[in-house]
Amino acid sequence: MLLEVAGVSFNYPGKAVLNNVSFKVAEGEILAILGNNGAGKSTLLKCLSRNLKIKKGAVYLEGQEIFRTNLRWFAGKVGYMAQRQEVSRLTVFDAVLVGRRPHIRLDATQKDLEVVEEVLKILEMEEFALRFLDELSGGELQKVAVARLLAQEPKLLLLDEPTSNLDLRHQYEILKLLKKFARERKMTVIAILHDLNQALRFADKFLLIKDGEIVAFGDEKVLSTENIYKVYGIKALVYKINNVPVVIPQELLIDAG
Amino acid sequence: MRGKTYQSYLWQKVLFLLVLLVILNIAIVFALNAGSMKLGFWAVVKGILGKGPDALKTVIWEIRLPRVAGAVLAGIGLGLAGNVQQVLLKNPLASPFTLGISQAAAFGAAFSIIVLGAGSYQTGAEAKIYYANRYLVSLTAFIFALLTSLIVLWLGKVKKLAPEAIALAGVAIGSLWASGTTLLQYFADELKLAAVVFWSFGDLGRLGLEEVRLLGVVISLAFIYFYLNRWNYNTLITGEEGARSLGVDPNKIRFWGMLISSGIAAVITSFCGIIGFIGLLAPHMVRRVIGNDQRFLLPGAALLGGVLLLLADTFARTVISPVILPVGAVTSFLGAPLFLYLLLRGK
Repeated sequence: MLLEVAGVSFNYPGKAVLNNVSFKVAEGEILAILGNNGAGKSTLLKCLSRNLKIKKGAVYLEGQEIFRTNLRWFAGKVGYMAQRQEVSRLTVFDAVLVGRRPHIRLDATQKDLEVVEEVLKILEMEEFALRFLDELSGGELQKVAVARLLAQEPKLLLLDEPTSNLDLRHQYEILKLLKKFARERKMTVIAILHDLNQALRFADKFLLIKDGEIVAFGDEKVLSTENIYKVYGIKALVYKINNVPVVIPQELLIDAG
Repeated sequence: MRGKTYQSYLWQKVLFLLVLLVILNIAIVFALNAGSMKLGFWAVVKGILGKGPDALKTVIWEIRLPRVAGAVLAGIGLGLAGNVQQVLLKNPLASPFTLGISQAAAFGAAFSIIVLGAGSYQTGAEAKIYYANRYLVSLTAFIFALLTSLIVLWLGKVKKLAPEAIALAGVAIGSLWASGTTLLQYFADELKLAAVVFWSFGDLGRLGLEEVRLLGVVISLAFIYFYLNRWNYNTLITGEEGARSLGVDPNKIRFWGMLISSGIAAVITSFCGIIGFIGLLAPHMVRRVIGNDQRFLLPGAALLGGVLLLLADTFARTVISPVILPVGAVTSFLGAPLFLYLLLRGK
């Protein structure tokens, strides 16, 4: 197992956020975290990325308890993309080059520059490589964050809503690209997503959380009418089109008459 | 090929730094030449190289050079401190002056002069401040500056104050120290009061070669520390939460960076008094041109800080010569409208 989350609990003062969360992720798997607003999805990712210290339980990466590992070692293995992107007067190239931080000793090497160039090319961002971040749109900033993560070349990618701020085409492009990267380079991905249908096309496994507790964990079968109702409180039908499950909230059908 | 374009883009930044370096050197020669004794460009160069008549060497090396070198070093230090604080607090308004650190150092100096009796004012033919214990003044100034820096850090970290709010809190803390200084002054006798007032003017004339050497060592060490952390600062600029998974501990970087930047601000203030706006303006102006990449902004803000303070001091020495204005008044007088202009032009 690449990652093992064992009985993790977390609370802010006076407010429990995560309660006894346990699951395992194997190398090369893509896991989608789904849940209601305020379920603790972002908190969970922050715990896994060492941004928040867990109160109970443990997280093991390659068998090692993550809070006991060297931060630099950890950075070589785990990349994290926050929900909100910082704007500053750095160029896109420099902002992506920062992703090489765990590999940089004294200064960026030719290899670091080549990795950044390659990533920018793959993401079709070469034209605005020398533009400043404070001149970019929200969607472009999001792509810069993805590029930085890919330049880091970690084994485990933690993504907090990687497709927010992106238009429909770019949402699918980014997810397709992440999936391609994950498959080709044996990267493991854990991503918080909101769109169930997007998640179904992207992920191998699904973790459903409701108010800090796991409702279901497993393959696409866990996205059942019953579980969706438990998490979101709305009725949804799950159809299969071309053998791919499609979730349609019943409210939509009623509105459509 | 994108790589070549990026390389040429980096060269542009290097070129910008070289231009700043040339400007600084021209300003140094110009400043060494400015004064009641007119020397001329070549005489100054000769004097610096240790050639020419003894009188020339004395004027250059013993009178003008400590002041000029002090101005350059203090300017470099303030530019560095302002830049690092702006990065660490993610606030373009952060600087030793706006965070109340300079005012705290001034309070510390006043405290040591008035309460601890570290200095007084000498009247008569050679009216000037004299210090019973010069290093006690610097040390107390340093301690209070550090204390303020820790308060600022604590507000951000423990009290979760937003960066914008921290700058505002700094303004409040600064006025608190200023009022403390006023109270101390109210209860001080005339001579000590005069010493404190003269101290707080912000004057590079009191720098001797010994202080300049110390400034040189402190600021060089600080620069080396900051420059070794340039990649960590760039990482922090792209986001606090992302930084940790890039192997950078924001709390640790912020703590040491604030400690050292406040430290150099405290040393400079304790030697020269309050000099405002250099720490705010220098990084701000350079960032406008070459961006926030700390590989280049760190040396850029340092160089421009040196240029700005040297020009301000030369202006202060020559504008109504033989009267020498306090440089702190000049930097604020010229810095405030310049900063307003930059703000308005940026919109």
